[in-house]
Amino acid sequence: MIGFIKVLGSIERMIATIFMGAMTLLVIFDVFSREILNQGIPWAQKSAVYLMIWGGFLGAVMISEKAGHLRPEVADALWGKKQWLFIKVQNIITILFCLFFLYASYMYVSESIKFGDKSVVLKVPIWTLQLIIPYTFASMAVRNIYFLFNPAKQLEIKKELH
Amino acid sequence: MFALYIILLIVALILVGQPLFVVMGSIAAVSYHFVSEEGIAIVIGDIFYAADKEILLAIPLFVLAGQIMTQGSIAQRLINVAKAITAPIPGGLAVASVLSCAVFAAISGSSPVTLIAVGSILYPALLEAGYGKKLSMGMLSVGGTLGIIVPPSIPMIIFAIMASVSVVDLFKAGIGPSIVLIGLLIVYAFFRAPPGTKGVWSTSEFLKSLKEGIFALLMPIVILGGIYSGLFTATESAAIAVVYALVVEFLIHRQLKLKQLPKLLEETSGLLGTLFLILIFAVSFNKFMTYEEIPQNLVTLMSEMISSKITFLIGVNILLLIVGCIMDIMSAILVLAPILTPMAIHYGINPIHFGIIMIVNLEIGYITPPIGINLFVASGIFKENLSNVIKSIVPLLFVLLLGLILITFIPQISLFTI
Repeated sequence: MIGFIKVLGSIERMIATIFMGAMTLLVIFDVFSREILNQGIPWAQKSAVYLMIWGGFLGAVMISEKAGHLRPEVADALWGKKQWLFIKVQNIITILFCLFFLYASYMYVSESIKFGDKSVVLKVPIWTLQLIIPYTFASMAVRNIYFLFNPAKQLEIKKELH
Repeated sequence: MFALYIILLIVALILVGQPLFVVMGSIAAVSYHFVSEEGIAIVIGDIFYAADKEILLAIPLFVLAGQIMTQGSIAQRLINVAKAITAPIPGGLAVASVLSCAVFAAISGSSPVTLIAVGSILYPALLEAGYGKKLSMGMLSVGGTLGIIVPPSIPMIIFAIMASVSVVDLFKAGIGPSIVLIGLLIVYAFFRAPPGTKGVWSTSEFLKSLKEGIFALLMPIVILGGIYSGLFTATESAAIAVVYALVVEFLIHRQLKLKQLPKLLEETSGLLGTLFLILIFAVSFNKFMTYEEIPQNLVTLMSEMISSKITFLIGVNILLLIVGCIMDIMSAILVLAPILTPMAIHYGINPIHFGIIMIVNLEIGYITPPIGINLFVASGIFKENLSNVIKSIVPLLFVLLLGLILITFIPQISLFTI
C-alpha cells in the first residue's frame, strides 16, 4: 500500500504544482493585459479560480498524507498512554467522514452530468471541474486507511510536528 | 435543543481528535440534514460555490510572494537598514527589531516565519549588545505577531470573505492599528533599554544598507500604494507582489534558482490545502445559519442581555482574548466572524473596524498559552524553556492590551484611511 500511496502522492504533488504555476501565470497575464494593454483576458480569472480549486483540494490531500490538518489538540492528553487507540478511533471517524462526503459528492457530480450544466465563462461541462471533490475525499480516505493500519507512522509524524 | 446537539457533536469530535474540516463539515451536514429540507447534496453545492470565488486567488498568491521573498537574505537586509536608522537612539537595536519584524511580517505574511527569520539573526545581536535575555526574547516574540495586522494579511482576507466586507478596506484599515502597535512597542523598547545602548549615526552605513535593502523595503510600499491609489484590487495586488518578488529574487538579489520554484509552488498548494476545506465547509455552515436566521436571532438575544455598545465591546474583547488562547487564528475567524459581525453591526460598530478588533485580539493569541504558536517557536529558536519565554512576554502583553484598548475605543485609528 505504501508504494501505491507514494506514487499517488507524487502524481498529486506534480499536478498541484503545475496548477498553482498555471494559476499564477494566468492572473499575472490578465492583470498586465488589463492594466497595460487595456484589454483583459475574459476567461483568465475564471480559469485561474478553477486551477486554484484543484490546487487547494490537492493541497488538502497532501496535508492529509502528513497528518497535518489543523485540529484542536486539547483532548489529546486525555488518552494518556493509549495513543495508538486514539489514532485508530481518530482515523476510523475521519475515514467515515471522507466516505460519506465521497458518496455525497459522487451523487452531486452525477446530477451535474445528468443536467448537463456548463460553466458560463469557460463553456465546459461543470462536472469536469467538480470531479476534484469526490477525488479529494477518496484520496484522503486512502491516507487515513494507511494510518489506521500504521499508527506508529502517524505517531512518528506527530512527534516531528511538535 | 438542536443547538445543544450541535455543541455535543463538536465536543465529541474534538475528544476524538478530529481535524477542524471534519468538525465543520459534520456540523454543516448534520444541520442541513435535520433542519433544512434541502438535504446533504446542498453541502457539496455550497462548498463548490464557496471555492468558486475570485477573491480567494489572493491567498495563494500572497503566500507564494512571501515564500519567494523569504528564500534569500532578505531578513538580514531589512535588519541592516533598521539598525542603521535606529543606531543613534537609546535602545536602538530593540527598536530595530520591532521595525524589522513589522516590515518582514508585511512581506512574509506569517508571524512564526517572521519570528524565525528576524529572531534568529537579532537575538544573538541583542544579547551581545547587553539587552538581556528577557527583553530580547520578549521584543522579538511580540514583534513577530505583527504579521497578521500589518497588511497584506491572510487572516484579513479570510475575515472579509466570512463577514462579506471589502478586503481592500480591511487592508487600508490595518495601517493605523499597525502604526499604533509598532509605536507602543518602540516606546517600550526606548524606556526599557539598558543604559549604553545608544550608537552613532553613520551616513555611509545607512546608504550602504539602504542600497542592499531598498527592494525589500519597497515591496509593501508597492502593494499598499497600489491598493491605496485604487489602482489594484486585492487579487491584482497579490499578482503584482508575486511578479515583484520574482524580479527581486531572480534578477536583483539573485538568490532564487529556477529549480527552487516548483517546490515553492508545491508548498503554496499545501498551505492553501490546510485552509481550504475548513474555509469552504465554514462558508457552507455560514450559509445555513443565514438561511435559518441564526445570527439575527442571536443579535435579538444579545440585545436583551447587553444594552450598550461599550459593554458589547468589552465582552467581545474578553471573549476573543479567551478564544485566542485556545484556538488558532484562522479557525477562530472562520467560526466567529459570521456570528459576531452582525452583532457588532447591531451595536453600531463599523464591520471593518470590528474586523480589525478581532484580528488584534487574535494576534495577542499568538503569544498566550496554551497554544500561542510564537511561544513554541521562540522557545525553539532561542533555546529557552517555555516558562522563561512566557515570563519575558508578560510586560509586553500589557503593551499590546493597551494598543487593543486604543484600537477598540478609538475607531478613527482604523477608519481614517477608508
